[in-house]
Amino acid sequence: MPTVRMTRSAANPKVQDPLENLTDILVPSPQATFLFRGGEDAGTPDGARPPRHILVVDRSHPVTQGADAILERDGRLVRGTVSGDTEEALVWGVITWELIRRS
Amino acid sequence: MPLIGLCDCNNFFVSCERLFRPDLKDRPVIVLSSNDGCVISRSNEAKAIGIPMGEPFFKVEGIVKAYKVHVFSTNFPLYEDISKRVHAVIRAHAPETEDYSVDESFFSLDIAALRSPEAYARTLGETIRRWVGVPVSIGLAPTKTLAKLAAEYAKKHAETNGVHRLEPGAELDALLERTPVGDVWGVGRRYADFLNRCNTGNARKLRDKPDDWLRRHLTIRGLQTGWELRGVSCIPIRTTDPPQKSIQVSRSFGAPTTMIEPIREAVTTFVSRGAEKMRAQGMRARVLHVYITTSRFHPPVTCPVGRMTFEAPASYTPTLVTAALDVLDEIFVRGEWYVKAGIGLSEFSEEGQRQLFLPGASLDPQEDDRRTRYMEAVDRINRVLGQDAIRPAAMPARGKESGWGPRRDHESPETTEHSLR
Repeated sequence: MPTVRMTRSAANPKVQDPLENLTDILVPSPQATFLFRGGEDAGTPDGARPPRHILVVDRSHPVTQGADAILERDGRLVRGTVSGDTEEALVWGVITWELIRRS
Repeated sequence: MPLIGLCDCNNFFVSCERLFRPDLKDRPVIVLSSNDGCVISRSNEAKAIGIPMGEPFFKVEGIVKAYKVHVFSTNFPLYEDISKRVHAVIRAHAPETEDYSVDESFFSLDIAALRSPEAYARTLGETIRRWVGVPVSIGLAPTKTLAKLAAEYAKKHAETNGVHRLEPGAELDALLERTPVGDVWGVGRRYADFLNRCNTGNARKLRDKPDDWLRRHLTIRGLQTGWELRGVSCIPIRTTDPPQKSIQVSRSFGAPTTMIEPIREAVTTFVSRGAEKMRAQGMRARVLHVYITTSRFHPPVTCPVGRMTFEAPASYTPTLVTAALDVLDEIFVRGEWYVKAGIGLSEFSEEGQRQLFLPGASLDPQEDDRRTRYMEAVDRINRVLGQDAIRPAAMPARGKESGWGPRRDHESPETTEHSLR
């Protein structure tokens, strides 16, 4: 059987590491991105059940009307929707992804 | 005139804690050192009610209760996370940055930013506040020492909107006169006491001391401080890009050559460039490689490599060039067509981190210091006047290479001043 010599050509497209790929998609600007745990199913108060939702919040993302966001309300951070009369200064960050554990 | 920026996070640890606690926005907040020992960060409100910096906690407990001051124990992992983000935003917006401390970065401004430095700095500050969520103050000045004072001024004067620029002139003179000498960057406690005794209690008096006095009483560092206060940059930005393990400089020639002279020119040029880059990172190399490659149109292709190991790590261009040319003489073969040359510097150690060597193997410290300062001066001049203003004699000026230089047939003028015909 003849030996096949393997070689790497510079023209080959870069094979992306799936992990890098995923973080590039989820976190395009890491300096501005924060993870929040919670959502509707935030786990029990005593933490016995871990929360099923992870919110990816990108503070560099432009704030638009109707955006799902973390808002400052009465001195607390809550999840809400940006509406016409939401002060931009009270938008802590826009939620870009919501990760839901399926199993 | 080049400008240096200093970005300083306001009340950094408190600002980190406030990021997830909007309820503490206008409240007095303090952060304590490990074991809740001393006050190490205060919000403006906490400063206003008179809580001193560095005070042991038990001494301020009364005032903390009376004013309902919110107290945090340190959370260094959080502060480090936020610090990294701030440094990263600055790095993404400036050509050169130096992460000076957990909450301070020096940076240089690129040509575009220099059109309106204040507007650029304001945008940078707003981006950090928006993206990372902590407020910053930015100082702009011709030197690091003045940039520190400018940032301090911006922090204390709300009307600056967090950005202040200092240039030599009457305003700077007045500010220096108001600045206690101990508040000047690089003036330690001991020197501040000494200067106060010498009737040099403010920064303006320090600046106006004669050079020989400064050098005699405050060493070379004090002289640098004096010059920096005058607006002459002596302490360059030390870039803190991830430290490289090695530096390579190589290039294919514009035309193949069988002669050693053009290759000597090329190698000298590459070593100078590599050494400059290495010094900018504050490094010295123990190993130098030189290689040359023959044309693939004249097989067999060969790529001889030579190597030199230094007893004492070197960053002094003349030492490196001499060694590189010796190596080249060894690997060069007459009659071959060469198309490419390259050099590598590796096995770095930090500048200033002197090691012990066998007697005779290394330079005496005084000569070593002289050479270090000489290279610093050369690098500084080249930064200001343009690359290669000062260079080894064997290194040709740009565009004057003897055949090995890159083709530049379609190059636009190096200046932005176009003349109308």
